[in-house]
Amino acid sequence: MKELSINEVIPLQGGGKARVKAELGRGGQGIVYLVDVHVKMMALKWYHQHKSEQFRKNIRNLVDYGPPMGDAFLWPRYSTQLIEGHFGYVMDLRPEGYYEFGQYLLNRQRFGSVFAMIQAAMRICDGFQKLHLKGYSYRDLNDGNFFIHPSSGDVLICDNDNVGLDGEHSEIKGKPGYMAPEVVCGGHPDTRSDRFSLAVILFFLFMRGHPLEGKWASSCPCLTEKFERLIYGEKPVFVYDPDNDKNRPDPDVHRNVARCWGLYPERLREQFQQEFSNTCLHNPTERCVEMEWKNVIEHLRDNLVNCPHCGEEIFFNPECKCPECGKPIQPEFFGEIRARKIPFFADKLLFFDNDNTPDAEIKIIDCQMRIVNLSPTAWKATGTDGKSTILMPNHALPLKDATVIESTIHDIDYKLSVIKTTT
Amino acid sequence: MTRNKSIYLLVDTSGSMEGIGMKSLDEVVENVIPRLKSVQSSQPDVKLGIGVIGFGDTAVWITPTSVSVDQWIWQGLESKGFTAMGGALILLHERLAEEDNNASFLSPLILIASDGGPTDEYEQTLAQLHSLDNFKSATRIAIAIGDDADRETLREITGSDTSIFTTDQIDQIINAIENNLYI
Ligand SMILES: Nc1ncnc2c1ncn2[C@@H]1O[C@H](COP(=O)(O)OP(=O)(O)OP(=O)(O)O)[C@@H](O)[C@H]1O
Ligand SMILES: [Zn+2]
Repeated sequence: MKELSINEVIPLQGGGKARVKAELGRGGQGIVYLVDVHVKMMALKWYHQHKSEQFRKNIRNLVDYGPPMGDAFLWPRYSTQLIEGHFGYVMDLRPEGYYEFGQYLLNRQRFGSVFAMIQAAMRICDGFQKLHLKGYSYRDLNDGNFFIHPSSGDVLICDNDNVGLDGEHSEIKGKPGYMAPEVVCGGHPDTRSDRFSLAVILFFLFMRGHPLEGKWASSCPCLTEKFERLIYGEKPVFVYDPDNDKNRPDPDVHRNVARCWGLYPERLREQFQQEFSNTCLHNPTERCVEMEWKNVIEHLRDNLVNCPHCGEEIFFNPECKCPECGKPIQPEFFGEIRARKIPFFADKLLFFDNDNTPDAEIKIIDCQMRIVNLSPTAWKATGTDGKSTILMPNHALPLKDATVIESTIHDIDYKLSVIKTTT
Repeated sequence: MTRNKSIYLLVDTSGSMEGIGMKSLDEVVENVIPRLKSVQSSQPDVKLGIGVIGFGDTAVWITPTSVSVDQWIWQGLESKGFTAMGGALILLHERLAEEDNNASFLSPLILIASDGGPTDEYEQTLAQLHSLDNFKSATRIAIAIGDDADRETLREITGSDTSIFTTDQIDQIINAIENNLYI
């Protein structure tokens, strides 16, 4: 293989140059160098192996078509020219403070809060939604592709070199455990198999284990290719399949999943049961689009509150009891926005739209529960007397029953109705 | 009384749509379908019917009759040749003219997706469409694909800039659709 030396200049497609500054790290596929491209510091991924013309052409296409919306992707920005048969691509540098998702699964890294974990789930779904909307499929989604910031939950998606136009032939199949059943059985990865992998990632994120690994899977004598094909490809059974209990988690072996499953709202559990049902496992077209996942995660985020007694982050539940300290919790107010019903507790952040930036916060100011406008635009609040007031950004309004707050965010109108709980 | 509401989807199938453009549109449609289904199930007395016109070298009905939302299956379209957008408007005009005389039809929802501009005559047909009440009152949404979409023409069809979206504005597209469909 050809390694690069410091200060070596690599010509890029289209005429630019990248000057090698330092080595950032190496992996199975290649070495990543810090490079200077027209006085901007970037990262160059330089492959150990010769890459086919088809692979190189795909990278050039990714450069030309550009990244999906947003800034979640460490996208190929330039491809290099071919040098003595070797090749690479330049992407943005990953900022400090982000850790590989796999590190979280191994408990080497922890989320600062449940809120951060939910934000991460939302951003992963958002990233893949935008990738798919651009016409691409990822094909190799696994625990090594994302870097997550532990306190904000911000996500960066890397290793975009296998991304391609959905439906086009790909050399890659994916990582065992993340591949969709139809890919394990010999098919090609596409947008729909990405959706299976995404559901696995989300299951890992929330439940800390694999959705298809339960008693039945661990009873298989050894993980030979034949059994792998059975468990992940031909006859997969979801560990909480409501119609088939043969693969339930073994509480001694699959401790995380057995412990975590019951902690989440029904809606999340149902979504997993749906996505890993026999129908969805075997019919890729039945799998839900990312938007539906985002709605489920939004439901989690809406119901995540700090218990007013013990301060723990908990999911508000219909029994109105804190699962941590057991004390009754009853919000004084709820907010209704479209089909969502959000319990208002102190310090709760509200998200009206899908951009993952909070639009409002519930605060107790002068012993009174108020809503603070965190959005950049003014709101109109109308009370039961029909009188309207304008609530400027960063201003707070005391909550009153039946107040309707109207706002417009990214050209979409939102109406939040405040409802006082009757006791 | 059961009423009808048509959703017309006019899709550019010219050569330049081949590949990323069409894939991107497929994805938009896949995001929209579950929403249409939930609108239909919450409003059973308004029958949503889908009609799809593809326009490449010529304009053709892909889903020729108004298929109900529950039976509609979207299959990606093949793309080649020119952009017979004018031809697509002629087909739309025929259908809208029929609906305009039928009291059971609510004003339709019209979506047009294109990555270019018409290569045939369209102004005259557009003028004829503008003489139909149900075209004037229709919600008209355009999806501009890629950087080369002819926004001028799309604006002539939708009537405003704020009804032209890119494929990544899926939330805005769905919002515009739902604002029209929930009666
Ligand atoms: N954009 C980037 N900015 C900063 N560091 C990076 C960037 N991309 C990769 N690295 C670092 O370079 C090293 C090797 O990268 P990477 O893991 O992507 O290589 P790889 O060959 O794909 O590895 P494998 O295939 O074994 O996962 C890692 O330590 C990674 O943290
Ligand atoms: Zn508590």
